[in-house]
Amino acid sequence: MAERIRRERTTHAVEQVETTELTTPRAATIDYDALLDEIDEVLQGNAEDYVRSFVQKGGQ
Amino acid sequence: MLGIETEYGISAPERPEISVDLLAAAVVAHCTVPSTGDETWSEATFIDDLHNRMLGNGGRFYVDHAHPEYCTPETTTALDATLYDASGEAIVARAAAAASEEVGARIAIFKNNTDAHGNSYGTHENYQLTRETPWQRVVVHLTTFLVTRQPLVGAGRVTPDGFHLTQRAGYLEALTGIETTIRRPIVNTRAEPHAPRARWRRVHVIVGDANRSQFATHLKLGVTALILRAVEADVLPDLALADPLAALRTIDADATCRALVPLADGRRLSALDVQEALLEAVRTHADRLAADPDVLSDWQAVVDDLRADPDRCADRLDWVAKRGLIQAAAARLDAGPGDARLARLDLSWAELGPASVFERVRAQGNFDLLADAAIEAAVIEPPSDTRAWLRGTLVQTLGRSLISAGWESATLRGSTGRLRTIGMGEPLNHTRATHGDLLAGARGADAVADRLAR
Repeated sequence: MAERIRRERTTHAVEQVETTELTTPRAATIDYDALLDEIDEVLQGNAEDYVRSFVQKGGQ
Repeated sequence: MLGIETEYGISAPERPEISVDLLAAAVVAHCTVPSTGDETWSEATFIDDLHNRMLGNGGRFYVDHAHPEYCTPETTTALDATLYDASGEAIVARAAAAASEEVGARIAIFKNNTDAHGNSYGTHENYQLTRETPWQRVVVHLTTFLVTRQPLVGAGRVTPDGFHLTQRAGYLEALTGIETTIRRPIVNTRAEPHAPRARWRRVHVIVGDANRSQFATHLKLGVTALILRAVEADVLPDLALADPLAALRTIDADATCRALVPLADGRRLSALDVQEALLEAVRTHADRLAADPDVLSDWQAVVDDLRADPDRCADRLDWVAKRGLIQAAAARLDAGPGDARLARLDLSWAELGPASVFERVRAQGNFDLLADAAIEAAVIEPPSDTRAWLRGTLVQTLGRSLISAGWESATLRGSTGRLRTIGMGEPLNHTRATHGDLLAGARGADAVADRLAR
């Protein structure tokens, strides 16, 4: 049977500041801005054509 | 016992004119792991066997509705099912890479359930349930559970109308029914147990999403299996929803996880309230239900975190992490909900391989539960404790003398040409424990069939 990898959850030191407004997402661990820098090419291409050309047959 | 099957999305992004039928067929035909239908396969088999393979790991890889579909072998734990689901990603991705060379175009594989044109394709969970459990009891409790589990297990979906927690909720139109491609129901009534019918049902859950997060896949399978055991034991409280389809849509569209939905008895509860009540009932009977402590603690932690602030689950749950990414991208690009760049990010999330944005998110989070080495082993080896062990062993060892293989039987051709069918009706029989010694050292179809006939 499979075994689960055991590791401490990576939790950035998120201050226990109460967030009252949800306008800005507060991720526990994900640095979205750094991530967006890395994937700039995905954001700059012709997204319209890319999305439209992904046509699937309906399935189950 | 349980398993999970996934219809993968497929495209040739640089060659959109190539039909998805051809792509799906090419991918399954180029399976790179031991399977029926490979080059050692009998010349007597049909060409269709190239597109319908039983695998050496006991699973199945086939073409369905112009999608490559992978089904895990039968497993006894949610973690094993998650392991084989992860192995399936590797199997499909490698077949796609091999097929890309043959087709002369890069074939991309997507673990999702929707395109931007209104088509949906499934990720189906299967759970074994005792036949004596009254079906109506299953329907009532399973409906409530499946509708309210969306914040725990949704894969997230970008639509022109905004962000949804799940890929599938928008495609469900009925409460119960047998269909899976039209008028899809919340509770599917397909009656194909693939096991002795007098004793077993197979509960076929079609509402779920294809998760990238192993944590979410495991939570989904572990909690659902536990709920079904609780239904068998009849220990769940009455939480029947007044209008399950309306509640499904409300919860699907509510990223705060706080929307209240009416129950049949007049109460109004949030999805998390309902999950908490179910969790309490299950915890009370944890010993009797043989509840996995990891599943209980993950379930509790996710419910607590979602209640406090859904973003606390951004390191584990698909929809939360995806929504964070989409919101950050929308802010940077000054993009509205219908912007194609956001839809493209959603597609990239689902794509298998290093180019996926999910790989960047995965590197920062706690989505993975399984070691790469274990996943790699499960690409090849079957689980040891179900009949998948025998199926996988036969596929790996018999080559062309294995004439056909299915969930419940296999047919061997002996040296005289005589065909011999081996029944494997009982899913928990024909395991390494029950048949490993018997088959040790048996070489060839004659020896295998003789020993299994004892």
